[in-house]
Amino acid sequence: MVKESKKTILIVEDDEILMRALYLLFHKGEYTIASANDGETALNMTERLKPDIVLLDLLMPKMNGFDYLRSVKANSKLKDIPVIVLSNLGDKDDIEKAKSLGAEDYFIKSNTDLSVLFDKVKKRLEL
Amino acid sequence: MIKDKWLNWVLLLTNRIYNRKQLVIGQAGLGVIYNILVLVVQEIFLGIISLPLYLGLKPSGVTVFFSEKGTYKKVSFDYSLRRVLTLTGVGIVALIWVMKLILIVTLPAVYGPMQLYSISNFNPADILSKDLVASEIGIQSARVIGTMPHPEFTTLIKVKGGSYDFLGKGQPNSTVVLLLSDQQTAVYSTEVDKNGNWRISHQQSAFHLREGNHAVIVFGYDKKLGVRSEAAPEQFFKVTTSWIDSFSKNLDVLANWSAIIMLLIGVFLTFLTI
Repeated sequence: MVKESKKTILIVEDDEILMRALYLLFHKGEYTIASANDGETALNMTERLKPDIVLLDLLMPKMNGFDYLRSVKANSKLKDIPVIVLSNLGDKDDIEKAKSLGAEDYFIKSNTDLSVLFDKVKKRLEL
Repeated sequence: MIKDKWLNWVLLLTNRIYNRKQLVIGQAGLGVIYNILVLVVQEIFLGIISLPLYLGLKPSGVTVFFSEKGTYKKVSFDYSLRRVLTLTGVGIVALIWVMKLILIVTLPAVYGPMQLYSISNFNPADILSKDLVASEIGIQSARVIGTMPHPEFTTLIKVKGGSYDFLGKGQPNSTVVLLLSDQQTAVYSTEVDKNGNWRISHQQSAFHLREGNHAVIVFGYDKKLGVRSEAAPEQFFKVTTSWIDSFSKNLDVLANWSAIIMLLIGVFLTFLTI
């Protein structure tokens, strides 16, 4: 079972290599890390685990990140969970859509420094 | 700091691969081939730089939800076929090249110049011996001219791959004959270049010199006049075949094949993921 004393990060990412990279990144912060590699599993985990923050990829099998965001923000028990998007999609429309659906921040993979992402998540968890 | 940079490289490369796949999907013609080749290279590079993620992570701390079981459980990451192949392929190839590198760095003395020595009371090889190769009958019957300068055999180099290079000096544009003793005698001849240098390469694959001492005799030869010089002082060298020789030879073959193996893995992984 997940220890309650640690903050929980749910990483939603379908690329296993990147999942491992993100796990390694946040592992140093001594967080409890949960992972899901598709939107449906992520939604199930969010409902049961109620993570302190979600790191979300948008392009995934079964349920994409937009639909996941829509479902989470429509759920009164989950809507306050901050969601940070880390995606390959870099179009202005995609960014605006994600933010309008409730994403707190948006990182594009091609120009993201993971240490900046780590600091962002860390600060958000300290609030 | 280094770890962060490395993880950023992994992130960047996965993004580049994604973008390249989008290009391939919407493309036709020769551009597809180019983009697939680039994808192959990128997948191989990603496989290499992501290898520590498979070796260094302790997945026991990861919590994953199984919808069919409805529980949380600490489990290992799934090893998909693609990643297993990457891990195995990169691992094997890396091992081959590491061994090759170790051989190159730590054992340079195996190859290169060899020690030559002479035995003063040893009877010189009989160059009229019937063991000589029959086609060199002209050399056997050549008249010895005492005033004709003989070439010098100065250096023997053991070359990687089972060859020996014999080097020496002589009269420019003259012919040098080299007799190399084993159970039979190998006869080589070559022309001395304008700088007075000559080189003869002996391939072990063509004529295998057994382990042990071998005599080398060189003399000048003029085929037109049917004359030859006196032989230079006979010199000897020792052939030793260590496990390093055969290991190195096999490793070279493996290393050459590893490039093809990696290419095939890259192609396979690319098609799996498009």
